[in-house]
Amino acid sequence: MERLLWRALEWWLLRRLPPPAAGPVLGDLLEEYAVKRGGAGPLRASLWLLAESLSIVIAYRPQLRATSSPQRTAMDKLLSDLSNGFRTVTTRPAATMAIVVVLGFGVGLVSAMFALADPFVLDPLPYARPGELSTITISVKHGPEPRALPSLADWQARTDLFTEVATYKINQPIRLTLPDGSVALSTASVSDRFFAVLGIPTNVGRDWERSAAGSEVPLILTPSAPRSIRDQDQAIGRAILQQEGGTLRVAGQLPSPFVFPGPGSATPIGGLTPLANEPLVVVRAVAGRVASSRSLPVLARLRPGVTSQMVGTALSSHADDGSGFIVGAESLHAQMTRRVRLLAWGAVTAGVLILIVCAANVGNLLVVRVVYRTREFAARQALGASRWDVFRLVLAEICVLAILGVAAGLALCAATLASCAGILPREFAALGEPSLTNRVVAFACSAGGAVILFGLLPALVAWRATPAALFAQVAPTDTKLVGALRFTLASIQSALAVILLVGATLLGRSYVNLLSQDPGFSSSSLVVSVSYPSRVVGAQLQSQIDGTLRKLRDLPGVQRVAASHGTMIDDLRSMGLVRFDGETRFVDRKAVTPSYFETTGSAILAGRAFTDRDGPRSACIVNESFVRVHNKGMSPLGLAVTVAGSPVEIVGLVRDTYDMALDERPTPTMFVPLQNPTAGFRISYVLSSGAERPSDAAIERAVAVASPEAIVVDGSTIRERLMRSVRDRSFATLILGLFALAALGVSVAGLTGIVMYTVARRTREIAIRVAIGAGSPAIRYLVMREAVAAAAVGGILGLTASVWLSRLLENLLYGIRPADPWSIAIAAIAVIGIVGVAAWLPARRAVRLAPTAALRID
Amino acid sequence: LTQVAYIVDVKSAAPLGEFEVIVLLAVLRLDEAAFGSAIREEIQRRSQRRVSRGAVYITLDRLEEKGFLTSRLAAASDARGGRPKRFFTVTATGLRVVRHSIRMLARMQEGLEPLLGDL
Repeated sequence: MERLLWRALEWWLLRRLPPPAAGPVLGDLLEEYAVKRGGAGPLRASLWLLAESLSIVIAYRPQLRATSSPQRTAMDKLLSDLSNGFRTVTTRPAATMAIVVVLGFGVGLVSAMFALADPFVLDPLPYARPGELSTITISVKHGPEPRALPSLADWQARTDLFTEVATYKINQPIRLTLPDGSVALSTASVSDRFFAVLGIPTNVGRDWERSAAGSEVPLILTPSAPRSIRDQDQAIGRAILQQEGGTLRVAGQLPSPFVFPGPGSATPIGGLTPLANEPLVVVRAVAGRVASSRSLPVLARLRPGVTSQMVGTALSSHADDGSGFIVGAESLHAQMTRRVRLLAWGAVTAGVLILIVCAANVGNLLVVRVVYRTREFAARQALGASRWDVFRLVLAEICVLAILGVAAGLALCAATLASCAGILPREFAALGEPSLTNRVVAFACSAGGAVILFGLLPALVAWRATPAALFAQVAPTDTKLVGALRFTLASIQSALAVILLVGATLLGRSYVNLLSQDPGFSSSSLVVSVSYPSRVVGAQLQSQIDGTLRKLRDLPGVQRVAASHGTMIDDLRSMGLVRFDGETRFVDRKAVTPSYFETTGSAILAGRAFTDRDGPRSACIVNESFVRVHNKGMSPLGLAVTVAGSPVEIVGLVRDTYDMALDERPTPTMFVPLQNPTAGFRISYVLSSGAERPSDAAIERAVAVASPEAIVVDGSTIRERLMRSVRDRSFATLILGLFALAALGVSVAGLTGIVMYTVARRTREIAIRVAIGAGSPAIRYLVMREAVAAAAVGGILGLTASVWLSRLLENLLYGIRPADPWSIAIAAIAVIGIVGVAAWLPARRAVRLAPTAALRID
Repeated sequence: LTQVAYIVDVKSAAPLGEFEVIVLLAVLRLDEAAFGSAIREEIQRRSQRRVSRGAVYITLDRLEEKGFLTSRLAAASDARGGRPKRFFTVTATGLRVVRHSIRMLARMQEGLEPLLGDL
């Protein structure tokens, strides 16, 4: 492509410049182009080359005019056509503005959607040879304990599959002490071949190995580390005291961009520390059977020719007695983009539909524009211009409009990206903030180019104009072709608007279903998630929890407080195996303080809440799902659940709550009293308050007083957390809703245009009909029938397509079927109503025409 | 006699525009290394303003036509797509007209210091 551009410019400059100057000028340009290309990339360098060549040609133009022969080259003709086109579009500023706005709107929206989706769809991950990277997960089967478990060293030795293997573990946030205060840092521990797997140069800072003293842990900062750490002068080599007791020394900084290669990469990892010799898989067995297991994710660089599927098959262990483990492997790109890919493709598809609607509208506007100029084209032909000359003239004008439309679209795209940064689901920013990259610019240019295809239709109308049109009574000729074109374009617009509207209605109703759903909680309760150092467990953690509960209860406005082990309304869950009714069951386990149910507003349906006398081995409470799934809906009170061999009595039944996400159905859950938690994890404190909500600073102070090493990770109400859990759905609904409205608006403008055009073209006929006694309904029918017929045909096509296309939205729907008849009916009624108004308003003008209007038309 | 010849020579030459003076000065500054891109770069760097590439090339051609510059072609290289590099040198006449233009400006400026300040 670049070579082609250069050859074209070389050819052009050699013809526009005097021979002695041309050669050295081309040499200078090529030399400087090579430098620019290295610094700014091929696209920007090509644009620069184009601009520089243009400046040279413009400068030499007067000299060329004085010396050149009258014979014009093809390039001269093209430039002249473009110049004519530019002059023509500026002579009709209102019509030009309308076309540029519609075109810019379509190009801008589709480019913005492309910019959002690009990093997930086309962009390679920011690692060396990302296609070779795979992520591997190990899950241990429940049954007899496996005799042998995989280790990283074993896999590293499998040179037939891998070139490098590494693992990592996401840690709890840690608090670091700096000269000017303390700062929280999210870290991950990574094994020693981590950087080799990703292909990141290892010469970042000092050696990655642990220091000889053994007391200091090296820390490599990522670009996501807080500025206060990164920007410190000479950060590398500087010791940072970790409040937990150990000392971290900054060993290096990773260059930007760096994205942590894991599914949780939306949580920015600010620092990397070496992973101690931790086994890849840990299995807890009771009586020789697997009770629970935990494994670290593995990152692998596959040998060329090896696929993820081959890795899964080669490494899984399926013992004959049912014991074993399953290894699942998928490409790193698939894992990192899984959550967003569907949404990204959906956004681009909606954008393309909008672009087609806008292009069809532009096509319609251009047909009108060309029809009104039929006499001009006829005159040109009468004066000796060929049909090809007229065709070229119109095409050049369309090209100029497309260029202006793309420029407007790029401006809209940049503005959209800047303004939607706040509403984007955080997963969209996981691979970097969406921005106006070279590829987005190229995409916008292609979108503009695609619109030119629609512009060929009006150029065809110009092609068919003959000098005979000069003598026609009414200027526009060839009405059959024009009518068919306009009808087809209007139908396309209506059909696409209906498709988008049905999609938006489905998502809108689905979203309303979500919002109207009772989460089982009191939504106004505040949840404060606190992270504790991993060494603080057992009685020490319990005493800090009790202290924090006391301090939080003393805050002004707080009525009740409670705590639960783990997170609330988050992706993380704590699951385990229990025995109930003679069978092993898989349930969610949640440890909570006695006042938890009262504070969160969860209703106790039967039995009682926990008291201070209850312990995790003596009492538990189950939810409705537990009873429905595991006890056939019968009362569980008095029955026992066996946990690790000890029977625990069910003392209460609590209502189901949506404590994972608003769109995730509650699962069988068993609540136990929170006492001396053995694993350091997050504790969620729930505060129910009156009108006066304690400030974030007051809460942080209260937590810090009770446990100085703890970090407040998140403080938000249950409602806020629930809304956050369906942020991707809100985004999809918002995007599709806005797009549907936009498509409807553009489509309605197109239909209104049809009626207005009909009225303008047939004013004399209408006036005569009025003079000889035609009534209002007859006139209205005359002018509206074309628009209404186009809308009806488009509507029927759109509704039929919607029934099939709505299946693509299935994963985003909640409480509603894809081909929901009500949603389709709502969309159809909305379209009929809006189209009716759009056609009726301009038709009023026709009805009010006086018979004398016939005399005023030439 | 030299003085008379100089006056005749300068007067017979076409007057120089501001940009032409700037281009001649840039060629003088670059000495042996004065070719199109380098001259434009020098002007942009010193004048702190953007200059069109086309304007530089056409001005160089014009100055050569007037006899204030001469040019020679250096050997072509692969980096330049086999195109030669064109180096410019200020002629004796060119040097005189630049000097004349600058002096003329200086004379015009005399007495205006209170208005123009210390330049």
